[in-house]
Amino acid sequence: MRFFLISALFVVLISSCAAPTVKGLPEIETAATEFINPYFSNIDQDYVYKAKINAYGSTLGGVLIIKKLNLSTHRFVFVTTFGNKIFDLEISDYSIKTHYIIDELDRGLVLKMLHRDFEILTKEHIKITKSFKRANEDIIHQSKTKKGNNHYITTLQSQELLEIIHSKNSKEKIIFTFSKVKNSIAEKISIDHKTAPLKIDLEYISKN
Amino acid sequence: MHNIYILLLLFFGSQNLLCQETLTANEIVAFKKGVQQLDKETKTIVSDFVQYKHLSFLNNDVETIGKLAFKAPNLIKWEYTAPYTYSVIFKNDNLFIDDAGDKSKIDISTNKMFKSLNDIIANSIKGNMFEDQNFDILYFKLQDYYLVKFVPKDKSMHRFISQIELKFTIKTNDVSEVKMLEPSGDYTKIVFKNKIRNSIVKDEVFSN
Repeated sequence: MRFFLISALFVVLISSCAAPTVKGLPEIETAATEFINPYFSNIDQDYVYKAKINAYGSTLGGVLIIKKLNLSTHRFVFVTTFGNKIFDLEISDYSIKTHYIIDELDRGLVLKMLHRDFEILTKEHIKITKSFKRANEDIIHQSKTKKGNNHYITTLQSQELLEIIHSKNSKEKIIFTFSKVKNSIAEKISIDHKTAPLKIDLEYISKN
Repeated sequence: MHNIYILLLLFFGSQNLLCQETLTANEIVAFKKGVQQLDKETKTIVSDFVQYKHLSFLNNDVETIGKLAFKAPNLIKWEYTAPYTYSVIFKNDNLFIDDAGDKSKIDISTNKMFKSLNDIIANSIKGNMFEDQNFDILYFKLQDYYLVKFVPKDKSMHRFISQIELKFTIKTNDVSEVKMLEPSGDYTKIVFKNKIRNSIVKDEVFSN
């Protein structure tokens, strides 16, 4: 009886710590230790998206331009439709360099959020810590980072990346959804913040 | 051999400098009078345009095309038609935006940067910016056009715009190109095409 109680408590503790994205899902063995996010990996490609940002009840339209500069660094420029820069940032795993940002956004919290979101969006080589399988056969790769868990949801057959879910303290915080994938470019992307009224919709417009 | 290249470079470089002649005081007076006369006679303008966003790290400029409509004294509709649809109507200190069906209004009276840039765009359509006390103005003549450079006097503006260049066709005194340069060397260039003055433009064009 005592053994049963301790075991039950242990199971409860373990399951309550599990990230909600994979809670209750069976873990599977995979040979892969790394997953590759292909969507912003081509150094020769200009990634240009029409962007619509809904934040705290306001809408802002513009163009988001992303360019891979080297193995671990991407450049992110957001401009209004008239071409005026809102921000121009260079982001790598551990650093953010601000080339330009309008005064209204030049706040530590905003820069921290942009750094986190864009790093997750474009990080190419992801170390897998565990893998899980959904009932619909999708595979979920879990990657633990200093800033929480990132779950990469992919199709079983083609390994196409459908979603990235960022969670922290057992709560899903941000959901990145990718669709209309052509030639390793996700033509539709949404970045939905679950703990703040902030949603970004991106639609690919580059002719390259 | 190396010296020959340097000589050639110096020669062609100096030719370019010579091509860009500074206007004399009399030429400036005559040119300004021509532009102001055209402005006075203008009741409406409709035009197509191509906008180029140049960022140093991109392979290609981001290109958008659209149409503009102007009706004296101060109604402007700036409409992007490809690769996405987005329109802005300038009315007093408000921008009325239609972002592919999502409609919103922005009050720009409190944002100095947006107000300055939107005033520049609005005034540059007609070209008559010569009395603007916010700029130092330099006049040049090239083969078949005048080039007028507007340098902001306000040092705080230099953070996001270092210079605005307007090209005027010599024969017609009409603005054919607007270029807004940033301190980094990146720029936005708008080239007007198929410009028609004083056709009938209904007021309904300026409501969304």
